[in-house]
Amino acid sequence: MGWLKTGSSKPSAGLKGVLREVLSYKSAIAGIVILLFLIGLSVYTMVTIPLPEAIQAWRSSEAWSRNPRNAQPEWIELFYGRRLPRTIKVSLGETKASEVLREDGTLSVSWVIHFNYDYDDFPSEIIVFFNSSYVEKPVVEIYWIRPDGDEILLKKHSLRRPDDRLYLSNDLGLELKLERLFESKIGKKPNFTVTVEKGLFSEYSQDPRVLKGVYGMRLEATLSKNDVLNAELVVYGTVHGLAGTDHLRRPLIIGLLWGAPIAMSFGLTTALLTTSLGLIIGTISGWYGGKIDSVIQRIVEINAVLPFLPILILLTTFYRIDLFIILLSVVVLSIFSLGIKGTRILVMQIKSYPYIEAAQAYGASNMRLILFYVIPKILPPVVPGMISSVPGFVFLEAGLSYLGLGDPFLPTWGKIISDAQTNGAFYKGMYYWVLEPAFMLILTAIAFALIGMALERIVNPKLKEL
Amino acid sequence: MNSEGRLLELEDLRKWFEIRRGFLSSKVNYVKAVDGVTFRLDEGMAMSLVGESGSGKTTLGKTIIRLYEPNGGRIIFQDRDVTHLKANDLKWYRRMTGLVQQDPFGAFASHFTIFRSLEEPLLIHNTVKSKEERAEKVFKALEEVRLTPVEDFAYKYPHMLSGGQLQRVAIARAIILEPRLLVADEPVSMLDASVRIEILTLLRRLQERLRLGVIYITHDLATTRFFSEWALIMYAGHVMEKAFTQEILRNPLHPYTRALLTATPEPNPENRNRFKQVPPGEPPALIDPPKSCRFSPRCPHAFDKCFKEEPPEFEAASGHWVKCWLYERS
Amino acid sequence: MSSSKSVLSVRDLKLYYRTRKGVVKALEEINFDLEKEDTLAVVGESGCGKSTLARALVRVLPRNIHTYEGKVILEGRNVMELNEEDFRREIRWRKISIVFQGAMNSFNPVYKIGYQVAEPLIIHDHLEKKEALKRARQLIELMGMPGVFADRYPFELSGGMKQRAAIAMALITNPEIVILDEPTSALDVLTQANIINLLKKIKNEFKLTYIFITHDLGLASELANRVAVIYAGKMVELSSADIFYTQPKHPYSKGLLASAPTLSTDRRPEFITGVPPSLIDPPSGCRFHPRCRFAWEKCSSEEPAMFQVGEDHLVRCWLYGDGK
Repeated sequence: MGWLKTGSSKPSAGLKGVLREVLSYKSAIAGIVILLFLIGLSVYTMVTIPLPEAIQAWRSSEAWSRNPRNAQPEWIELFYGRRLPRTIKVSLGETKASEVLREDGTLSVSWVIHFNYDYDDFPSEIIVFFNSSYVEKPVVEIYWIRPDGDEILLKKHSLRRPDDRLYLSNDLGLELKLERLFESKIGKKPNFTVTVEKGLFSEYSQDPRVLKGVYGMRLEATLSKNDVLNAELVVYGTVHGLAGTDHLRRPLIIGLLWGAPIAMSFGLTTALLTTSLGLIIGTISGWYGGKIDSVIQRIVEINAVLPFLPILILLTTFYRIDLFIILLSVVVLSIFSLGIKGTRILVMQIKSYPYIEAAQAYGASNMRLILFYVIPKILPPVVPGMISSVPGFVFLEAGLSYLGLGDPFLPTWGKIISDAQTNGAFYKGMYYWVLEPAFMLILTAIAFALIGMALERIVNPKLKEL
Repeated sequence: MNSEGRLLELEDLRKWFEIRRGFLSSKVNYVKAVDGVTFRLDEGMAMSLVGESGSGKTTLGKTIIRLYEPNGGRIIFQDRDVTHLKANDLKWYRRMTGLVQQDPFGAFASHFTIFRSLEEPLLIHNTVKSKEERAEKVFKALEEVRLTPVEDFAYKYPHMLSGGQLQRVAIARAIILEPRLLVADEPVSMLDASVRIEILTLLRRLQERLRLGVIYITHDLATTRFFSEWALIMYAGHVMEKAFTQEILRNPLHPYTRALLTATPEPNPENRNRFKQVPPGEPPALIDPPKSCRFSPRCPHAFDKCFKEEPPEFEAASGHWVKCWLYERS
Repeated sequence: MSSSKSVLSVRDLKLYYRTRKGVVKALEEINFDLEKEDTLAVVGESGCGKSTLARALVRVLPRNIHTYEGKVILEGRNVMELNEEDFRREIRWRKISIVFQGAMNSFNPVYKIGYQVAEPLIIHDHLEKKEALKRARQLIELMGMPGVFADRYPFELSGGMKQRAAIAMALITNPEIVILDEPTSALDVLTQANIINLLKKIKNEFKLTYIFITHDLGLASELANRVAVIYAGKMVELSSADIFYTQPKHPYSKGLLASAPTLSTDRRPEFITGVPPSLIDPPSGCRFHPRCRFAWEKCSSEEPAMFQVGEDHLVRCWLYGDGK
C-alpha cells in the first residue's frame, strides 16, 4: 500500500495533477471520450424528448401506428447489400379528386394516389387508414394500379366507423384473389405463397421478384353532400430509423436514448451513495472501535449472508415499484457490504500514524480528525473502486428490469431486453432488439471500467508494473 | 525556584496498559509502562528523559501531555490538577502543551500543505479570528524555526522537505499556540548527526527565548548535556536517577546510568582497541517486572537486598536522587 | 597503498539510477583499497550514497539502474566482469557478505532462526540440511546466544538477538569481507555496545575484513582503522582512523566531527549549515562548496581531485590542492 506511506509517497497535488495523470493513460482517454459521449447523449435526450412525453409515448400504442412492427434498423442494409423498404405514407388529401354529382344528390368521388417503390424487398404490411365524417356509412372501392398498368380491385369496403382501418395484409379473400391472378398470369401455380404484399408488389413470375416503379391506388366512393373522406395508405417497410422498432411498433431509439440517463444516473447515484455511506460507516467502525465497531461488524457479517435478490424481489412485490424505491433498497442492501471491513482496517492503520497523534496533541476533535485527516487519506483507493462499481449497478438495474422488477413506466435498456426475450427476438432473427441495448450497457460499463482502472493504477503504483 | 516558577509536577504518576487475553477471559494483565514517577519542572527549564526503548519514557511523555490518561498519581500543571481533565478543560491543556514527535516524515498529513498543517491548531482553538492574522501567525512561526523565506516553505507539501526541515515545521506547529510546556519525543533520533545538533540548538533557543518548559525524551545521553538543565534516567518504567544534567554526567551514581555512559559511543580512534564493559542481557518485560529493583538481574553490583525489595529514591547528594540500595546510608 | 596486499580494490566505481525526475548520480569516482583485517568505516549523511556503495559491492541493486561501472578487484580478480549467475555463485556470500540495515526485521516469520542462518550454506555449499543446521547452531552460540534460539521463530527473539542472528547468517559461509550497513541503527545503546563488542571479537577470531557503513562517527571509531567520508555521492576524504579523528582535513569531515556530541570533553557540538544537494543536479565544482565556510571561486568552478596530504591520507578539497 504505497499510497498509505505518509510523506515519502508521491503527492496527489490536487485535482489537476490527478487529471493530468489520468490523461497519460490511453485507456482512460478512451473511457472519458465514451463517457462524454454518453453524457452528451443523455443531455440531448432529456432536452429533445422530455421524460413525461417519452413515458407517455412509450406507453401508448396509438402514437406508433404508422411505424412498422418489428422493423430492423435502417443501417442493417449494409449487411444485406440491398435496399430494404422504408415505410411509405401517402394521403388522399394531397391528390385531386374527380367529382361527379349524381341525380340523387350524392357525389361520386374518385381519387388516385401514386408512390414510387424501388426497394429490393417486399413491404411488411399494408394498411389503409380512413378519417372521415359522414351521415351514412359510405362504401369505398379500392383499386391497385401496378407499374405495368394492371389494375386490380382490392376491396369493396363499407366503412365501419369514421376512423376505420383496412388491414389489407390480413385479408384472406384478397390473398386468394391475388393467388388466382398469379396462376392465370403465369399459367401455373407459383412457387411461393402469394401473400397480399407479394401479390401486390411482385412481378408475375414463378418466384417472387419485386416489381419496381410507380404504383397507384384509386379510391372510389359515393358520398353525401357534406361527407368528408380522407384516407392514408401506409406501406410498411421492414426497416425503421436508427434502431428499428419493437413488437408494439415503438421506435427502440427512444428506449435506447432514455436508457442512457436512467442507467447512468441510477449507476452513479447508487455507486456514490453506497460507497460514501459505506466509507462513513467503515470509518466510524475503525475509528471508534469497541462496541460500535462490534455492532457494525456483526451487521456486515449478517448482511453478507442475506440473499440480495430475493429480498429485493420481496420488497418490489410489496411496494409500488419505481426507480427511486429500487435505488433506495439497493443502497440500503449494499451499504453494509464487506468493503466496510477494508475501510475499517485502513482507518485503524491510519489512526496509529504519528500525524493523527500530533493532531490529537493540538486538540483536534474526533469529528475533525475523521473528516480532514482520515477520510482524505482513504479516498484515493475508494474513488476508483466507486467508479468501477458503477457498471455493476447499471447491470443490476438492467437485470431487475429484465426480471420484471424494474420501473414499469420508464423505458430502460433492461426492459427492452426483457421485451425482446418475451417476444422471442432471437428465435425470430431479430438480433438487433437484444444487441442494441446490450451494446449500450457494455459501452457504459467499458467507459466506467476504463476510467476506474486508470485511477486505480494511479493510486496504487504497484499495479503500474503489471 | 520559587512556587511561582513551578510549571509541572508529577506525583507518583502511573500509566498501566490493560491487556486482556482472549475474548471472554476476565483475567486482566497490565503492562506497567510508567510505574510511579515523581518530579518537578520549573518554567523555562528543560528536562531530559533518558532511557532505552521500553523504559516507559515515551509513555511518560504522552501521559504528561494527556494523550494518555494516568491510572494513578497526579499531574499538576501551573498549580492546577490536570490528571483527569475532560472536554473543554482538556482543550485548554492541549493549548498549553505542545508535542514534537520522533518521525518528522510521519508527523504531517501528506495532503496538507505546510501552511495548512500550521494553521490547523489555530483553526481548532480559534485563538485568532481573521484569516490574515492566522497567516501572519503561521509565517511568524516559520520564521521562528528559521525556515526562511517563509513563502518558499509554506505552500510546499511535506514530502518536498528534508527530515530536518520537517522537524523544524513540527516545532513551529508545536509552539504556534504559545504553549508553556513542550514535549519533544526523540526529536532528532531519525535525523543525521549534523542536523541533530541544528535542531537541538533551535529547540534550546526557543526554550530560552519563550521561557518554555521542555521535556526532551532521548536515548542518547550525549545530547542531554548542552540541551537540558535536568536529567532523569528511566529504566523499565521506573526513574533510576534524577539530578542536574551536569551532575549526572559528571557523577553518575546508579549502575544503570554508569552503564549507559560507558556504552554511549564517542569519536575516538582508541575505541577500536578495547572492549566496552556493559551489562549483558535485556530490560525486563513490563507485564511481569522484577518485584525488587528492576535493574537487579543485570546489575554488576547487585546484592541480596536488591533481589528482595524495591529501593526508594535516596537523595545521595543535594538535588541528586537515586533509586538504588547502594546509596541507602547516605 | 600497494594494491598487491589488498583483498579488495575499488576503482572508479560509478552508479547512476534512473528516476522519473532524472538520473540520480548516486556514486561517482569511488576508489579505495582494503587490506586483510582492515575495517573501513564509510561515513556520511543519509542519502549521500553510502548504503548504495554497500549494495553495489554485493550487487544487490534495484531495477532502475542507469549506469553501473568501474572495477571491483577482489583477490586480484575484477568481479565486475562476472555475470549475475557467476557473481551469485562465487562472490556474494562466499567472498563478501552483508548485514543489511534493519536486518533484524528481514527474517521470514514462518521459518526458525536456525534454518534461516543455515540457508546460505544449503544454497551455496549444497550442504546437507542437518549438517548446515548444526553449523548454524554452533555459530549462533558463538554469537553469545543460547543454542536453543536456533529453534525459535523470529518473533520470539528481541531486536538485539535477531541482529546477532543476522550477523551469524553473514558469517556462516566464511566470507573474507563482511559489509555492515548500519548494523545497530535501531538498537538501544547497551545492546549496541554489546553487538559492537561481538563484532570486535569475531573479527579477531575469523580474521575478517569489515566495511562498516554508518552515519555515527562515534560508532565508526569503535571498529574502524580506516575512514572514508562520502558527500553527495563522492568520496571527500580517505585516511587512517588515527589521522582522521585527530586531524581531519576536509571542511565537511571537520563539520561532521564537530557535530558529534561528546561526554568526555566540554566541547559544544556545532552543526553544518545548509542541506545536502540533489544528486540529480549536483552543484558545479566541489559538491560541498555551497555549504563550505572556506569556499572561494575555484571551488564553485572546478572540481577538486583527491589530493594526497600525507601518508595514507587523501582529501578532495582545493585547500590542499596543487596551487596551495
